[in-house]
Amino acid sequence: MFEQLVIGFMTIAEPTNFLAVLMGVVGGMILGAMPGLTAPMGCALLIPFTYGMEPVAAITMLVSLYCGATYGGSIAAILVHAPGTPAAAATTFDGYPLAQKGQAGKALGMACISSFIGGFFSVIVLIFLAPVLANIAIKFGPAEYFALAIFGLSMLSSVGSKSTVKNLLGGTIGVFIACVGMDEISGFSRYDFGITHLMDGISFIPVMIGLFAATEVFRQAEIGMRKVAIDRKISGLPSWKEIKSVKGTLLRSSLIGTFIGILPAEGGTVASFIGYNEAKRFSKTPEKFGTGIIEGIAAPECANNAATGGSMVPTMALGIPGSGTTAVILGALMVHGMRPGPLLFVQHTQEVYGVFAGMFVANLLFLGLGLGGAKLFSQVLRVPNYVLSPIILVLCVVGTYALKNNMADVWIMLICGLVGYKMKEYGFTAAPIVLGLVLGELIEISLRRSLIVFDNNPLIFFTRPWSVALIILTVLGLCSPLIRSWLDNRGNGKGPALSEAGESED
Amino acid sequence: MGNKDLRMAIMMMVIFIVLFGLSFTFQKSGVLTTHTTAAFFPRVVLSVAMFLTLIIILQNLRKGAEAAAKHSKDAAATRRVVLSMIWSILFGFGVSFLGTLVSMGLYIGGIMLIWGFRNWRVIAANSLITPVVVYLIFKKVLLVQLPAGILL
Amino acid sequence: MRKLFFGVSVAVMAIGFLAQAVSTVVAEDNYPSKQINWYIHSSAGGGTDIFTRTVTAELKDILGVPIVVSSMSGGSGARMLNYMMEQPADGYTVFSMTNSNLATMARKNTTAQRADIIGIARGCYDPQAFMISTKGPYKNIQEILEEAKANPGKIKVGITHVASVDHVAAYLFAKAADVQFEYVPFTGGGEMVVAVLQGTVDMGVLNPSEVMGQVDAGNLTAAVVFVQERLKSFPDAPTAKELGYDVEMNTWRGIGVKAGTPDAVVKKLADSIQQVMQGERYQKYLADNSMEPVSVMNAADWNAFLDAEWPLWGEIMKELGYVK
Repeated sequence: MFEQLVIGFMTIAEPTNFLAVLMGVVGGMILGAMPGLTAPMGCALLIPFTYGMEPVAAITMLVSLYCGATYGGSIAAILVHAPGTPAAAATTFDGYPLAQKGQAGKALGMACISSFIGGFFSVIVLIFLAPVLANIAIKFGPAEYFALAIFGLSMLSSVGSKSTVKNLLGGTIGVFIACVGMDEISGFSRYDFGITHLMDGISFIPVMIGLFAATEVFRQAEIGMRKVAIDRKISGLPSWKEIKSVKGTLLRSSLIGTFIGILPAEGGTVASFIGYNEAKRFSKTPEKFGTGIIEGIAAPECANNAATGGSMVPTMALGIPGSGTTAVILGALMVHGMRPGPLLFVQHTQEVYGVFAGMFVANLLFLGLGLGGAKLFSQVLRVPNYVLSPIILVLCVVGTYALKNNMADVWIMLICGLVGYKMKEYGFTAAPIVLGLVLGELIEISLRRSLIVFDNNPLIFFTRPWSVALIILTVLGLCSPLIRSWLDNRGNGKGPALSEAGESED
Repeated sequence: MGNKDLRMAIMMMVIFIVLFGLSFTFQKSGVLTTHTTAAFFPRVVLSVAMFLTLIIILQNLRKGAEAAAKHSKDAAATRRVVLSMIWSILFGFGVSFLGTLVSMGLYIGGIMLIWGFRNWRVIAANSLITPVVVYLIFKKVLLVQLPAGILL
Repeated sequence: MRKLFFGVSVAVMAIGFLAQAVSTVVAEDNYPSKQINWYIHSSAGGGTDIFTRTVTAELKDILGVPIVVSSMSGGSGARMLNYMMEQPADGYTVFSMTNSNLATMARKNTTAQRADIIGIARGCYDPQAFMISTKGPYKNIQEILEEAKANPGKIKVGITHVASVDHVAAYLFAKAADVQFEYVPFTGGGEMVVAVLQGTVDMGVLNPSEVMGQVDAGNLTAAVVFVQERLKSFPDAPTAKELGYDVEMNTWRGIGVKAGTPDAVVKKLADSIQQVMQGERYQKYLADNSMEPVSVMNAADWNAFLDAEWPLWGEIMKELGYVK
């Protein structure tokens, strides 16, 4: 195995292959940093160019683009509050405040290092455990996905504003937005009000760009002209000590990200939210999350990059794509005569290890480019907001349009920008809505599919081991603040009333 | 009586009830009779939403009228925000009517003016160079289509 | 100052109107003389996208003009077809189509109907099959049919989306065999493969090309194929026709333009595309995706094929309750 890996590295060291990796990473970082431009789109654009290439070069170029884009999303999220990729949405929570404090270098550096560690970890898992872990994907049926989605929704209690009721309501609205359009189970359209564009539903990316990036533009309008976003000196990279202080978070997020990545129905976006939430839950100072701490950047960034290697596991070992981008990569594998599936590792050992080595190199490259470029990227904050903000909104509009060549998405984005600005006055934040929207379709489809498969027996969720485990985790997670505050209050001799606990937690 | 949250919650309640009512208009399949219908899940979600809204209403009724939240925003800030929003919406119409390139320039220049910036050289530079760069990158390098109006 | 700026805005709009008024007319006899816009109704990176890009990569050199492929997804092709209806029939708006466009037209979700489209070429004909797990309780189609007859609704069939070509194939088969299946809709083939492997569904309607990796590993096999002759990769799987049920319903991808496009333009486009599709590159693409060379059909044959399949969709959508 090591021998093959060495041969793989030697393959990648060939100039053309190395160039392919480099181009993939750089292209991916640019695409990732642009709101609206996504890795699947980039891969689709590249596929015709890969026809004339050697299989290893072609596949590693696409995989490198995937790795680079997943990292690149964090750059715009940290600097301008515009998650470049959906998976970077959770990075805005702490990344943007930290950058606004004048520590953009630290934020970008942490994002880059944790992305690298997550990516590196998942590639190691991919190399050594892919065939074994692929079986996890087979264990997950509709009932398990439903339990996972409910577990994800339980995070509503810890992201967002102070009011738990409003966070839950925001999440519910997010789930409802996911209901708009064609119902996958019955095949009828819902809440489309006769508009063809709404028949396909309200997609996640325009809503996210609107709520995060466009809202921020209007908030800058409220602040008014500022010569520079921050007037202090922009900090350098995080210190070794700071990196070491989040090693627990990095390990946890790597595991979470890889696991979620392996599941075919979910990818980096859910992984980053769960990574963020678990870091907060395990933290001794959960109240600091959201104010700009490096742990809040490390957790989601590490998790979403760990999902890249994770989602390559079912793609290569089962022939089942683990995410939108790997679906395109799967197509490319077939185009190049490498038939993904259990026998891929046997039939195409050489190529497969070349791809693995390429992923290693891709992760190393974006580490170098990201750390080296952090200083350069953070110069964006030197641009006056009256110059930068209109450019950001222009990029949001163009990027959102490019997503599906659809003006309807642009309108959804703009409306979400207005609503997102207004709703803050009422104590609603973007995070719960986005989380609800991300999980909405999974919840509905997995619930209703389970009901079909298990003959409308709702008890099924409590009889299957994985789903029971996830439900227990959900209950524990929901109760943990209650238990904690109960322990704290025991000395005072009064248990917290539910509504009080709801408002005081976090 | 009638604080901000209460008004918002009552309005949302009305919207949820209307949406719930709309779910009775959804079509049903004549063949897939054992499946849950299209209306099933939205009704579940809306019920939860109505329950949560009710809690907000009750909480606010109990609290009674509170002093209205103090607005720290001054009139000029509100004007900037409202004008920026209107200009952004017009930009949305602009890209499909005038075309992306021209609208981008007009939008960037307009926002800078609305925010009170008056250095013409910087405005001209930003509203000319940025659109061209963005246009060339998207259209020629990334090969994505941009909305084309009567101009570019 | 601000007045001046907004004055400039108005002036720019005025110039815009003028520019439109004097827009040039392109003659049809020197087709193609400008960029061709090519639309697909599914998202970037999907099977239709890759098919389209494989064709256009060579076609643009043959025609000597740029071809820009864009995804115009929405309402299973409704948006793309509606857009096509608004464009001039001049051959500069070309689109890739699949069965689901016929479904959309049959459901009247778009104003376009069969008569509004001229088929240019068929590029893919991807066989569909009932795929079963080799480790599942049923070894072949006879056992499944017996079980379905004994316990109506017990056999669960995975399909990608309702009212899709998968659903219709399974429905036609069930109707011909006089059994009742329970249909479990999935959003993608990958999820369905997992469901078949884990036994969540008893069989799934899949294109063998999607799952050859699992077939090679001995985890999946075909129970029935919906093509006229047995597939080379599944010599033991009977065709529906052999079983006495005349069902032929497979995934195809093709190319079309709006009806009314001048014959000379259609011919030029169709001939150039045939040249691409008969070429080595395209044939390799077919082979890599486990499709037969018979996938390629010229304009005349394919229009006849569409005429034959089109009424079927109307009937089935009515039976399934998707059109009144």
